[in-house]
Amino acid sequence: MIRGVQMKVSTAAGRELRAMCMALSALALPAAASAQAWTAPTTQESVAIMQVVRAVVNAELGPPVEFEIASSRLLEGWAYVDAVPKRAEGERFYYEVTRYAEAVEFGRFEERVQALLKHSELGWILFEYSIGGGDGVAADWMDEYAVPDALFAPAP
Amino acid sequence: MSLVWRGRLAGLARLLTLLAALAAAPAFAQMPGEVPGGGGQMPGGSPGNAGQMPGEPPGGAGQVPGGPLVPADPGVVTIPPQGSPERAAILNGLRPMVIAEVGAPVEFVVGTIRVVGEWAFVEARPQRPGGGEIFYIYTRYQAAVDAGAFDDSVIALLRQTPAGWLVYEYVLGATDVAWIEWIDRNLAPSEVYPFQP
Repeated sequence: MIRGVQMKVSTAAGRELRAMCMALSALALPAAASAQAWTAPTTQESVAIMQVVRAVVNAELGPPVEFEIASSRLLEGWAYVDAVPKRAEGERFYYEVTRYAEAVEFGRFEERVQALLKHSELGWILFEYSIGGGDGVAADWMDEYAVPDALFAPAP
Repeated sequence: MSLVWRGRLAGLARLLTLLAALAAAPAFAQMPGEVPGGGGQMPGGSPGNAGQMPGEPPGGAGQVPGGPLVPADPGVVTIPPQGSPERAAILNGLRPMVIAEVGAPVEFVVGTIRVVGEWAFVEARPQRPGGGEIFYIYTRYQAAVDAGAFDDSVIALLRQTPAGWLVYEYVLGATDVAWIEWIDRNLAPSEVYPFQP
């Protein structure tokens, strides 16, 4: 199911609280965190991951979409990506013809794509993604799947 | 003109007509890799088969980047025939969503495909080429499969835009009538859905 700005029922306050808890736990347990710290993907891994993410963003916003990657992390077979979708120079996204029109109009939309993927024999499989969602989207995913908390820990 | 020549000309005309018909036939033939059987029946009809080969570009034939939106024609439901560019474009718009979640390649057995103006509704069962089963063990759906709460079909609402057919709503594995809540949430005319509640 599409996980966009409209999909989750958790409150923004709840999300922020959980995000803060995640950050605090990461700071309080440096030894544990270092034992399972996330790593940055190799170029090859990143290309494979972004290929999957790009496919769904293209499907929703229309191709071609490029990304400015803010964060890309790997841990225990999971990948988390936080990126800004981009068009070629001089082009823009026509959100008014997408499902995000209302969110954009009312300022409830961040130009941001987040995605959670898991590696398998079939390659990288998309578990969740969000277009336009803000901080805290990932916290919902932690509740849903057995994703290690450290995947979302602040950068060292 | 003698009767002999008239007869020869009439025979030539019939031959040309036959050749023209044969030349036109491939336009309605199945696309490579498509599962035989036709698809996109109206509700109540027997589900048919359709599916384009993986690897076709999303938003394929029939799209004119930068072109105008198709004006909505409320109430007029069309069923794009199997092999038509419109049907291929709609399914190719949907395909990347499914591939991202279950891996490639994926083809569709279309149960329902309806177009009203710039909107399209699709209900289809994804499968591997040739009818191979999709195993959800690697996906987020395995828990639902284990719980018997998974219907292996995809339901989607797409919109035709200058950028091609874009996915507006999408759900895989829903066991209920997932699109009911889409009716109020979107601008699409209710006629695009299989039935009105």
